[in-house]
Amino acid sequence: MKRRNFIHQSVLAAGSIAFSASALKAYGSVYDVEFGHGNKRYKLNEKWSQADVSRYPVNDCHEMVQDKKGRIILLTNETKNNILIYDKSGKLLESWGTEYPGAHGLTLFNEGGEDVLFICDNNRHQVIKTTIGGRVLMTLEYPKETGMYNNATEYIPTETAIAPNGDIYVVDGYGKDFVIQYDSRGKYIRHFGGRGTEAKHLRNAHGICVDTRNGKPELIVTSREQNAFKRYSMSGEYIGTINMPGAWVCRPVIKGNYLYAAVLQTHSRQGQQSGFVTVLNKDNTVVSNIAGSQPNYTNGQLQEMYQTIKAFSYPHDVCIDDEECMYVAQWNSGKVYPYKLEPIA
Amino acid sequence: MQHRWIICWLLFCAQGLAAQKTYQLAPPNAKFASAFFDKSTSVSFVFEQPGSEIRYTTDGSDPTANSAVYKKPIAISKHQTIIKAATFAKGFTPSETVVLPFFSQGLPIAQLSTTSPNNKYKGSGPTTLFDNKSGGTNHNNNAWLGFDSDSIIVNITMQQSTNISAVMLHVLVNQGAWIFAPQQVQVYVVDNNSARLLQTHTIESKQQTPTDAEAIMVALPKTKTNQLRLVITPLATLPEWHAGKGNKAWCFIDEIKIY
Repeated sequence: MKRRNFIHQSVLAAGSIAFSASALKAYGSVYDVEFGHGNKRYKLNEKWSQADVSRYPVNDCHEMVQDKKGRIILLTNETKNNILIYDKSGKLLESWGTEYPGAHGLTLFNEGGEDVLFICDNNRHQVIKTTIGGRVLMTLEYPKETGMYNNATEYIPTETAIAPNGDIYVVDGYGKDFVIQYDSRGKYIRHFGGRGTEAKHLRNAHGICVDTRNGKPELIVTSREQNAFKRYSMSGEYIGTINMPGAWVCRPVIKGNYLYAAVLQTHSRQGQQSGFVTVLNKDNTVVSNIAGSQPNYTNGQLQEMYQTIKAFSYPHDVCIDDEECMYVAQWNSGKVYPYKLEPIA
Repeated sequence: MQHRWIICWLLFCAQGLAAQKTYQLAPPNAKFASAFFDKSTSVSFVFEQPGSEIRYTTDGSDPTANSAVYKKPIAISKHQTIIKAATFAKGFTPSETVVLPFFSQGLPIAQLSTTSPNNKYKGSGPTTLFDNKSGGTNHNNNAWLGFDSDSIIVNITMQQSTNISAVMLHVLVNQGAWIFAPQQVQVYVVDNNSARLLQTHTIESKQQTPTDAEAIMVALPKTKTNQLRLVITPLATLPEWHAGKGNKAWCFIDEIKIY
């Protein structure tokens, strides 16, 4: 009896696999959703993280970077483990950090062969430099040297960028929107940006990066409420604006010849989990929106962009790894772990 | 035997398909000047997602996969036209429906005065209430007058004495922000400084409606006048289910129309 059952089942299984494979193939085009446009198209994997939620929970997943060992590092404001370190397959390798309640910005810098991290903490009103293992190397307090701040609470740093010479640029994206430049030892050099009505001013300077795609390094700073990125020289002279109509862009992330950014939400659908991810080429032309509208330039003007597929809620950062895969960290999105997107060749 | 085969196969397939995720489309991006129009207006939609379609209705019914396909801007000239639109694509769950009601601007108002709104939500003064501009759904955008008083009194003088049949109040509902539709609207006709009650309209508050602007249409017995007074009573006590139960609700108004 037992034996008969066994044979019966294996015949069934074999038959089912053959049938269902063809059935799935027929439905393949229906269910295998492609995200993005042109040569920046991806498949989305929501179940990349294999972390045990009961032991390694996340709150807002704010930012992600890849270190020189190829590991993916996530910063969350969950103080059980502010840093989660994964391998590229989503296996959790390590965790640390319990003292960053306002963990928001995470930047990695290779300092003479050693990876170091810069964490912006909104609640602590500080920027903290650590080793890759979490040992604190330096703490930058509120920039009283600028003469623009009465106390620490006015300063809510959201992001850092480190220049090739080690200079540290901090954006005060939830405070007064200044960019503050320090040398590598944390000595104040200058500040620029801030709020105002001129093109050089910023509104919600949420992110910053050093752009080396065109040879000479320059800064790209987010002006999120203006739906724009603004370009500055390394000494703070305003160069120009990259308009991103409709898109609440978070930090710019440079990888190869492209600029990637999480879009927190669609301007016309605020507070409605309307985020997507945008990709710009070397000329800062939008070439792909992942879960967003197909980029449309009319008479050279980029038309308003918006979410088209409800795949993300509030994307907050992207990380592009050495294999061109993308990781998306989300804010206020039901405490989900990051998603991974694999490029479609 | 044959039966079990088929059932097993179907179950297996169902399982395989269920494991795949079906994403929902986002709603189309609507563009229009205002919900209020003079003679006519139009609304356009965009949705740049390859393989998708925008479908819409103008009769108040919910759009389905069989509704008209949107191709060009929709002209609107009829008072109280409701445009509903959604996006559809093979392999995706259709989007939620965008509901856009349009109202004609009604009889010309010469002057309007009102009890003071809260200092934080003064808009551009009383003219905010008859400037033909929609306030959207963000109560902070200066297009709304926000009241936290026990009653709101609005005096309206029309450009000429005319037959009137209705008053419309365009209000915001954002229950999470304690903003509810008023519980009562009373309309008076004013002649030689004496006011005569024309109509009392009461509104039941509904639980957990999404944030949206709502039109409260108060039908009136046909009357000829050039002066009206509205006495609007904001919801006096937030309902049991609300986090602020027992407290007074806010009332936000962006437009008043007379028909």
